[in-house]
Amino acid sequence: MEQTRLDIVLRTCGNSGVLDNTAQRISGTDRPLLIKKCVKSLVEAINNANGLIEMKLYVLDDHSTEEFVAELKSIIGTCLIDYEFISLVDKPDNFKHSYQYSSYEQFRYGRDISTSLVYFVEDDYLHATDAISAMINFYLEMRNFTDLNSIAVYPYDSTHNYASPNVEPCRLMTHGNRFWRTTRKSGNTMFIHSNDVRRYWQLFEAMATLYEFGGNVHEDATLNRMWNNGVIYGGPITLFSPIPSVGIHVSFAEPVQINTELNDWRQRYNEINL
Amino acid sequence: MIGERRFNFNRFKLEQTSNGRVMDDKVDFLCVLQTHSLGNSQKDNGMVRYGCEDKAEIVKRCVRSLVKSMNYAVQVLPNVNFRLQVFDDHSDDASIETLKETLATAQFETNLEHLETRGIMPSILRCYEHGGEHGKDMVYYAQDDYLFCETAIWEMIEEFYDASQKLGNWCVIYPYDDPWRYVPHNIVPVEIVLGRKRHWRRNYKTASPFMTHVDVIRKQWDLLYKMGTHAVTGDMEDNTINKLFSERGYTLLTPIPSLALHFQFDTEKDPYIDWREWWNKHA
Repeated sequence: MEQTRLDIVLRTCGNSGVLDNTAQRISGTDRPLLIKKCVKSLVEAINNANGLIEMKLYVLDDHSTEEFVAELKSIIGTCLIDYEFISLVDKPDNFKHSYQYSSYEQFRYGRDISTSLVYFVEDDYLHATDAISAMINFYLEMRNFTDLNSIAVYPYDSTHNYASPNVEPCRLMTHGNRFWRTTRKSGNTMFIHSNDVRRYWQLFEAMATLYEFGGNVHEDATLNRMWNNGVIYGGPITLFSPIPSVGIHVSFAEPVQINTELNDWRQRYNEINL
Repeated sequence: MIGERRFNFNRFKLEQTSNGRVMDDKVDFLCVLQTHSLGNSQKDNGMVRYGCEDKAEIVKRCVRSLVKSMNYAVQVLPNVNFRLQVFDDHSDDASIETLKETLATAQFETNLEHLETRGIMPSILRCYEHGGEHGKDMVYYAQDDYLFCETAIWEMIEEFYDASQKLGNWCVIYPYDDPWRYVPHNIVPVEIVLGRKRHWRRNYKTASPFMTHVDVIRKQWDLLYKMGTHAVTGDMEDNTINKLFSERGYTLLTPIPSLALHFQFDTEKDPYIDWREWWNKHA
């Protein structure tokens, strides 16, 4: 019987992100500070889940400066679980952008290294202090409780779910201190079983190798084809997002806010001292 | 119909009407509340209400929370005219005095009427009748065992108009997110939308206290009448007012988490709200 464990595969890049660097992110801070705060929030969430199941953190860094790497390592050094910092090599020629290669490597770690659960996470997600434990507990209970084939979690209750015409029917349930809704949209960040990464590798590979900001190949054409929302989309994996979010994508759209710890995400952001 | 009167949500004024109203007309909110301090049907059934077994105490705090929530709404929605009509079913003298004291704190028009009839269903019917006869715009039917958070009425009104505008039809609001809706066999497909301070989910099951537009009450009166004359059974809502949502095309919305707590059984505790915190505010 499988030993349930979690590999967290974080990719970082202090220089530039996948998303448009000219647009102002909602944090209002520069990218290095944003990443450091988000990484620290992740480490805090990991530490709060320490002991729940066996975990390991892999950090795949994409050519950040030495100074930034040192700062990242300082944050990651506070992690209470086993961790490994990997500086990625230059992208091979068959990758157009470096972020495509780092994305590929992140997914490949899930495919080749992980034997159980894997959390792919990008460096611009701000986590609630209970984010990791909430996802682990939800995943394990749902897998034991239901006859669903596979499930996955996208930690962000995305604004996309609520923008017309994207308001689609879903299933809504309660677990722990949150509601959990089905959805059919994720980013690269997801909590999933590595068996599903291997099973649907073509979609991961396509997302990693073909995605370009503003291009034609995006989540809907790749990763989102895996998802099932239990109502009108019948992909092989039922995808859930917590309400409220356990991780907020600190991008360009103000996240959904309700009465929770992350209701005032800015306060949480500002409270993280580096 | 809502299409005849475009509602400016931000300014809370009617922009244009074709039914005689002028631009600066106030929107009317009529709350029709039923109270009864003595009998506790749940206790008679062997069920104990969580928090408190004294129905009079529950009524006192719940009505206070309702008035406080309406007072809050008065402050933030100056273009809404608030009214509260109370129908009391033979409460004891002390409770009537407490009720009057609470109503005296209202920053809006109130009226207390003593019913000649006895029992919960005649009370419901009288409330329904009054809403249909005297409602002008929004009508909220309230019961004496729902405990409100301060922003409840405001958020309900905001969502009511916002959702109705988007739907192109008046919606119905039930402010209590019943945990029973989340047991596995009740997890049905729902849409979720965003309100001002919380998410709202589609629902298909209300209880007798709900909020909608008076036009709905009048047009669908047969269902409300059927509810008000139904025997007290487990399927009384399904046989009557829930057909608004299953057969007649109306959308029911419920806030997540709740804006009002139903002070009944243990199984009805909202898992996301510390009821004691709400309860203690209205001692």
